[in-house]
Amino acid sequence: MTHILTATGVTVRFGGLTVIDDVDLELRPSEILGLIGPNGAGKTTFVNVLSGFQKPQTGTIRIGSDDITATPPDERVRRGLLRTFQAVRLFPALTVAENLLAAAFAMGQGRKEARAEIAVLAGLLDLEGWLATEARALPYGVERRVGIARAMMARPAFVMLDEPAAGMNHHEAMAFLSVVDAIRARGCGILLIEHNMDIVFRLCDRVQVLRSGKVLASGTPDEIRNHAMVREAYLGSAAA
Amino acid sequence: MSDEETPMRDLAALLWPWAVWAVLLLALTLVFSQISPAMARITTDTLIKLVIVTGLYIFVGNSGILSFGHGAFLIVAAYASAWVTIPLAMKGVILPGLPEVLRGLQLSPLGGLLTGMAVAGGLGLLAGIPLMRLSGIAASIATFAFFIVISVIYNNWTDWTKGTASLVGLPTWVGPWAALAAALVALMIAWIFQNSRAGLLLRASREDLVAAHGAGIRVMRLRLLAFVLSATVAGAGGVMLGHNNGALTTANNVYLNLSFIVIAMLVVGGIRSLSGVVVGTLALSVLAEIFRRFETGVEIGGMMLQIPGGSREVLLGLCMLLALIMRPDGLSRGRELPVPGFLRGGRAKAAKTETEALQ
Repeated sequence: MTHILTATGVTVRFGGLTVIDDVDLELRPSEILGLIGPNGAGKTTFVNVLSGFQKPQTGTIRIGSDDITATPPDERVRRGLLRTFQAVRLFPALTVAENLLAAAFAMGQGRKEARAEIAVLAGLLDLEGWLATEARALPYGVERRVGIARAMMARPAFVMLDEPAAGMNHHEAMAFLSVVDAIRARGCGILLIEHNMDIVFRLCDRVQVLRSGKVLASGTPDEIRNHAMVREAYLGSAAA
Repeated sequence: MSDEETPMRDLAALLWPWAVWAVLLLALTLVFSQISPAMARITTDTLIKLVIVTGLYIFVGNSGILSFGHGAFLIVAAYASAWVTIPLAMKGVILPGLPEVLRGLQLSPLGGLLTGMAVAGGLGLLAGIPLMRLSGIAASIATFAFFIVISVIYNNWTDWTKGTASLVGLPTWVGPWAALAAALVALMIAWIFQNSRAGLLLRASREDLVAAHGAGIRVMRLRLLAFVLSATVAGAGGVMLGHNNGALTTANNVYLNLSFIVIAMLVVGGIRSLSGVVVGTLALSVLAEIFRRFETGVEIGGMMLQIPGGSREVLLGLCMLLALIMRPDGLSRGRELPVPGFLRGGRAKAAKTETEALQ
């Protein structure tokens, strides 16, 4: 049965400030949906709502027909909804292998099964040489890849990548494209928050643009690239 | 993760650090317990403290939450064992207020030990359900409040505990070898838990609570599990204290002082490794003994050197302060003993070498 991740009418206010204003979103399996917008548009707050770290004032989040709006973050993970963090947030004193094992154990996977999965993901994300290294000693780019691998260990149905290519050089960013494609090939729906428009337009099936907490536009990469208001508000010459 | 690895070698590698500490403790016990009865008592006392510090470590080391409340588990376990092991004739005279079922009960030392551990574990479960919902300093302060509550109850529960007077008549079956056996079992339990699935997940939550929730880790459940296990092991230490001294008292902040020393041992050794538990306990036990001897007076070169009574706690406090300032990760720096190359898997070794080369 195909489940869809749906957010309907989500609104978040911090005091008198409305940071998310009546936003809808739909993410299907094997789909890559880009969520873009200027800094402060509410992208990360929206991911916090989807992952359960932020309670919305109004709106509902569903996986298929199940309402998970009040479900705590760890329970959402067990329902297949994973996220990475903008600041990565690995477990610093644990080795890379232990970071990945922890994610597998949290999902109830056995040690042998987890080790096999680690071998696959380490190959995919070029982490083989880092498995015995403590996470606090990792270079930035490797740290980000481990963050993605940790999310993938849970074999999610949906994964939200919060600025996964931030700080990557051009070579790393291009290598990252194949990683996201490989994740999609596993049937996983991906919500991609990213400022690198080259990556967004190359990878995404659809793109949704937020500005000041509201949906400014939604459509295919070509539609968004040519959307006058999006160009004016966010893309500028980047889309040219 | 390599074809070259075998289950036996994995097991040997896993148990290596424990085995090294076990051999060291065995050797120290063998040597010091033979020197004199006084040294045998010090050895026993140190090994009992090691049981208690190990119990504390199971929760604190893996969860990252400092507990000031484990003294409560020592109290309840020690008294529970006393209630079921003091000889019947004596119990009727000393504790006439005990209910009939307890007054007529006489268990073996092992029965008393298991009773004490079960009571401590049960209390850990009851207290842990509300306490484990808290994090950081709030959790630590709450554990201290819990200790005060239990301490005051036992202080005033004269029918069962004789209050601030001494409860005597406990069979004194604990010596260096019983204490060593308990310490080795406690260290083994802690080591297995630390390397278990639950231990790894709890250590992950210690590192980053938000990320742990984001990875689907059920943090509260794991904390509660560690708290109960920790209380049970610490309770064993409490039972052994009573059966080493032959008497119990809640007077004069006995358990508060003990709690302080035990926490100091954990902090000085290194709160994040079982090796730190052993190193900290041994180091502070030696220092405490030196300070104690200076309190009673030591003659050096014809001169009698003596420090005021109570200096021991002050000096131990200074040691903890120095450790926190100069080595916040403790003497062990949060590391475990390295596993020798011949026990490491070929591929794991290669990966480590490659990583070291890259760095």
